[in-house]
Amino acid sequence: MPENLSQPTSQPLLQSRKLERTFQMGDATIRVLGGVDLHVNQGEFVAIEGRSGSGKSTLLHVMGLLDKPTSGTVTFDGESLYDLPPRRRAQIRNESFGFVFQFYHLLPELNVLENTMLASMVKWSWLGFRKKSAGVREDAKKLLDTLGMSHRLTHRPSQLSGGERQRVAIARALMNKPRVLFADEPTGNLDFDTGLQIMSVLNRLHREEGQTIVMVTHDRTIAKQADRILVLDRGLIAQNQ
Amino acid sequence: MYKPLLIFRYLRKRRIAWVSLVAVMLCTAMVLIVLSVMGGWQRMFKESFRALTGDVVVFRGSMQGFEGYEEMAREIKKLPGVEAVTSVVTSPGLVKIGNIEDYVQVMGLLTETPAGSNLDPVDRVMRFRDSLGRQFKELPDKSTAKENASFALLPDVPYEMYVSERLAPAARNYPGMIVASGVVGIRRDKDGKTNVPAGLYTARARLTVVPNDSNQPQSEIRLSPQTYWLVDYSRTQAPQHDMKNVYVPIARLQRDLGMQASSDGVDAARITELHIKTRAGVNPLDVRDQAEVIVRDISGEVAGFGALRVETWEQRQSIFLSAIEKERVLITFLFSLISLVAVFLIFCIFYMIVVEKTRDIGIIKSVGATGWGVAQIFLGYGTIIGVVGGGMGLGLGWVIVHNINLIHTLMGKILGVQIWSAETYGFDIIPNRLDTTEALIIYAVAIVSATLGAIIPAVRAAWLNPVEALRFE
Repeated sequence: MPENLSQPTSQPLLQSRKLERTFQMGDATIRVLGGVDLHVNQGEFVAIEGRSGSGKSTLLHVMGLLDKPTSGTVTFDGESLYDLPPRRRAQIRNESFGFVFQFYHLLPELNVLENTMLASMVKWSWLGFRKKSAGVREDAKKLLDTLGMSHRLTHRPSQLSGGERQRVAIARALMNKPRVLFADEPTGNLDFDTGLQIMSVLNRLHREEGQTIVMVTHDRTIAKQADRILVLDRGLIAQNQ
Repeated sequence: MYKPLLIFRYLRKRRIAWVSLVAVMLCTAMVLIVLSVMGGWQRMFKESFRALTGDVVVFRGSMQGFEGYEEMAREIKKLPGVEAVTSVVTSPGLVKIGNIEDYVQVMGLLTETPAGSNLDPVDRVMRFRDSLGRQFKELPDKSTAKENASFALLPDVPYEMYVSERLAPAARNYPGMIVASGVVGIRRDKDGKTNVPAGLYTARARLTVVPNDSNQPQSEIRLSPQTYWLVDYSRTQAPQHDMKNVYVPIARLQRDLGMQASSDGVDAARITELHIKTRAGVNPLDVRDQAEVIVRDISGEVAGFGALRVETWEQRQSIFLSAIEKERVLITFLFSLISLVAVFLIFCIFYMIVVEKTRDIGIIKSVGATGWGVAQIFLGYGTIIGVVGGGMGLGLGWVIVHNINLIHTLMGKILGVQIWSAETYGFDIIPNRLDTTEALIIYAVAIVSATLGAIIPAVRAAWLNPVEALRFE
């Protein structure tokens, strides 16, 4: 059975069981996820590969608390995520998860430094942030420096190239030191060389800092850089390599 | 922390929000200006009554008047809440000044207390003196004005020169008359100047009243016009007084009307109204109740048709005052509707902004913001627009209200437009006083309205699914 292809070998950090997601389109019900069981271990780099429409982005969104499953469970660090109240789910999204999207999704009104600090600003109240402001600012600058963006701190997203925007998006995702970094086609909107640069950033994070990464891609060469590849086909995991 | 930052950035970068800011500003200014002008007019209209009324009035709805007023005044003045009491006689009359001959309302006023009388001069009860031109309004230093209005002839006018030789010896025996501004055509021009007709204080008036002695058969009533010198004009700013009134010494009017005490002591003197001034902080209704007991006791009359009545000035003018109150309610209603339009405008603009910022909402939620947190951004945004726009509206309204007469004059000169008509509103100056409490209420309503306008868009933003928001195009 395809579901059995992703049985955990030890206590997983993130796990889904019989995860289903359907969408209603008029009278028709479209089943995007057909009962996915998967696990991600601490420090693992997992790539979810599949063709367009296979449900890989939906799987990432449901695992990352951006969307709700129709049925099934997602467990993170022993907690069943969708049994938690919305406020706690938002807190996990803020403190334990980080997202990198294909289209960067930076706020156009904020500059590079402010976009990077966004997750920290959400984490802290106005008063709390004022107390920690200097430290947060310093952390954000360091992060941007490691990503080669220290010369662009006050620039707006519209003044950056695609690769630069994606590096800022990665910096924002890493700002609160997430336990899981979700990347949805992080190179999908970039040229080949820039895509390689972004992948080298992700690889370095995984290798040097033990960052757990769940990445969605349709590109086999990109997927091969992960520790494990899960191939999704028509809403089910077809291969676990 | 992200909320104030995003509110501030959206305010700076989203120019469309400035439209709602301007809408709130204009709406606030408009409501403030209209309520200040109309409210001020209503206040002035109400105040204008006070020039010729006490707080409580004893009267009979008949020209016949009533006796015993000295005794009533003596007893009423013993009441702790009463400050002063004065008498008034009113009667219709016919006045002829130069070539003008017109029907007028004649008011006999007491300007000096006769020896042994319990009555006070009119200005201890009303604000008649403040309505006078020569004796008050035209004085360069108003602190030099005398305490009470006066019918005394003018010392610097050679009255003898303005009458025929035959009448010259008696010229200074004519009493003084104060005439309402409208009777002799005194008005303010566009520049705010009062044009007093030349020769006003050397003009004579012939006043005819009908004696109302009930003992005399009507066929035997003889009309004898009396001559007066015009010594001043009055502008109370109450149209009902300023268009048709003339004021004469009460004793003279009593005599002409046959209301003076008879020499044989059989008939007592009569007046038509007794006006009572209450002390500060005293409820006129309480004084009214106490005075009524005294009046009933002295007159021996019981309440009923044709009997003496005791009413507060507001009760007496209730027809006028209720009309004004209804107008105020109507204005408030109309401006509530206008405010609803502003709320709807803010709602539309904010809805547009939320739609435009849908993807941003997805991003903010993806980094852990709660739905309530996102809603707070838009609610805060609306509130700030209310605070800033309302504040700017207050400023704009204040500037316009304070300079409204200048603006009106300039509009008249440059554009030939005259919106405020002294004939319509009874006042030639547009009210330009801002009521602080009213302004603060309007400001609060502006803030609440702007926040209300943002509620639905904020709720929509809060409910947005992050994934749908991120995919929004």
